[in-house]
Amino acid sequence: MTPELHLTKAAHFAVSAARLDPVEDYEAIMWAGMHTCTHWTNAIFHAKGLTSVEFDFEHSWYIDRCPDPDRVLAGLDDQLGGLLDALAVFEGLRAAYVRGPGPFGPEVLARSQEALDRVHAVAEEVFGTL
Amino acid sequence: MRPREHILKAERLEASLRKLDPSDDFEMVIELCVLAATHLFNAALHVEGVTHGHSDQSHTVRPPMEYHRKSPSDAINKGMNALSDLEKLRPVYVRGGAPFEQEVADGCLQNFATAKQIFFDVIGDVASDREWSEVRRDS
Repeated sequence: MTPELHLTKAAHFAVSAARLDPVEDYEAIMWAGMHTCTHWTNAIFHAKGLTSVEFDFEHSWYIDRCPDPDRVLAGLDDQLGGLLDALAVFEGLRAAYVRGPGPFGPEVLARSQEALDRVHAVAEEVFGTL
Repeated sequence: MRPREHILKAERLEASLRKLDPSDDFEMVIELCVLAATHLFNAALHVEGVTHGHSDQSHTVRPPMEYHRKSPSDAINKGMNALSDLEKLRPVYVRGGAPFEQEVADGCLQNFATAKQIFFDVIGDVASDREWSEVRRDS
């Protein structure tokens, strides 16, 4: 999928999350944040030439499934590797708090927001203001 | 998770779903339908004894149903078909780039309603507030 289309989809999720309440709807906000970050990360990886538009990964560990994982992994600097780390934050939170029964606390959403902010900062560096 | 916990989580996700617009929030509507229905699917599987609290399905096919010793009832299979149709929307409209389609949104909400009804029919009152209170007292 093209970077432009990823950015469009990411924007849709961000708009939906903004309609929701941080306490009442924290699971949905977290889930939307995960999709936003995944679309941003795919867009960045495509723009940087790490992955082709033919290969989108759904989860951080799917990077091993791309046609040339060694090349992709070799191309991960701290910034790009940090995007996968941010996705891993969502992957942990969703298992515990969306699919699982983990009790809500403000720190939970703060962790997902911090991961979202990190990916957002890189996405804006690559694509300009989003 | 116990059936009652799945139901409470599904209720929260459905409450979030009701705040969204099927057109403007197409992707999240799909996701919340899938998530809420999956919680009810798990509750129904626990009630039938196909799976237990420590073993939840993340998707209809993960883990494969054949993995379990007991097969789900025909009713659960029907609900699972509706949930599976919801899951099929994800690669196209959520992770993929396909745009909003009214017919797809309508079908999504209809499949969610169908799955929800079927799974609640299986669950019955096993996970009612009263039963849940008794379980908690006994544990």
